[in-house]
Amino acid sequence: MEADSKLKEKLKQIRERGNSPWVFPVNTGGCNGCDIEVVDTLTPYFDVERFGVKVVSSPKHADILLLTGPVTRQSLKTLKNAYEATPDPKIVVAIGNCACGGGIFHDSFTVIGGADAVIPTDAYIPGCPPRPEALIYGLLLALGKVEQKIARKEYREDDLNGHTV
Amino acid sequence: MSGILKLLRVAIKRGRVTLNYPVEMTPTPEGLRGRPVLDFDACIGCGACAKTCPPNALTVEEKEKVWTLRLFYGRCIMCGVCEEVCPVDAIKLSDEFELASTTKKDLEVELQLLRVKCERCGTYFTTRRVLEETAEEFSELGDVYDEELRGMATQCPDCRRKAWSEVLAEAYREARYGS
Repeated sequence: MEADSKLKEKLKQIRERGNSPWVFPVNTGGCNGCDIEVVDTLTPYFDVERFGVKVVSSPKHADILLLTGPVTRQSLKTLKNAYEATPDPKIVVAIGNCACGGGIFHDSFTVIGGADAVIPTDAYIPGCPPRPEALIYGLLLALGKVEQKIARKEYREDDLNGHTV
Repeated sequence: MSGILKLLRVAIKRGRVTLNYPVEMTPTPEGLRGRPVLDFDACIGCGACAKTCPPNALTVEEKEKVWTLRLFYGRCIMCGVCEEVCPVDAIKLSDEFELASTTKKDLEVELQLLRVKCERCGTYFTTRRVLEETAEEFSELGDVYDEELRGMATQCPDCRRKAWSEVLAEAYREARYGS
């Protein structure tokens, strides 16, 4: 809930700035699968520009950072530079499993972890890679236009009170 | 100029192609591998899914009395191996793909089952549901599955090995020296 209110505060500030959410994609060492899906969402078929989302070529122009791939040791410095260059308030969206929590590379010695291991992340879009629709949904979730559908689930078996098989 | 006109003619002919996605749900293709859904009541707690999961999205933690299975969607690659290996079809891939969330906690599923003690040495070794499932499977054997075998099912693997060697030694002694 705390993360939610923070995100809402950021969104309000971005709206007050009065422009469309421009994005800057950062590949921090992924396999390029998620990047291809990001490009796919920009095609006329999915057309993410309907929501004012535009890919810019410098983080200084961006409101949203799209992170793809696990954070590797080599890309750590570049990622931090990009994060610091993005003007506040900024939204960070982790795309794909690797950016969400290291993905299939999580136990590699060159991988530090997901994006949230290094910088504060506002939204997670799991998938390997996520479908273009899932990407649009995740972006809209980060922009506060749609409701979240997934929730944590827990199940605990009752105590057996000395039951034996 | 004529090139643009040609293109314009094609574009007008084709009409609008953009999906109206967030307003209308797009039809999911047949056999789409979405997020795996865990059936809490059906899962017996054998841990086969966690053993085969390629990215370790499914992990098992065994702690004394409690057996915990954790599924983290933020690492699941939707390969469907868990669905293949599950002996009771407790985990199945659905066609849901809208998994985006604002917190990492919402991407987790946790299942806790109780473990049972070995009747011989008293260490926790498997879940109650696994024992029930094996008992049901072996009951099809009929008379072969007698009291002695049933007793062995409630022992941990080490004790079972000991019990078997005792049975074999007894049989050998009988054959060699007579009772």
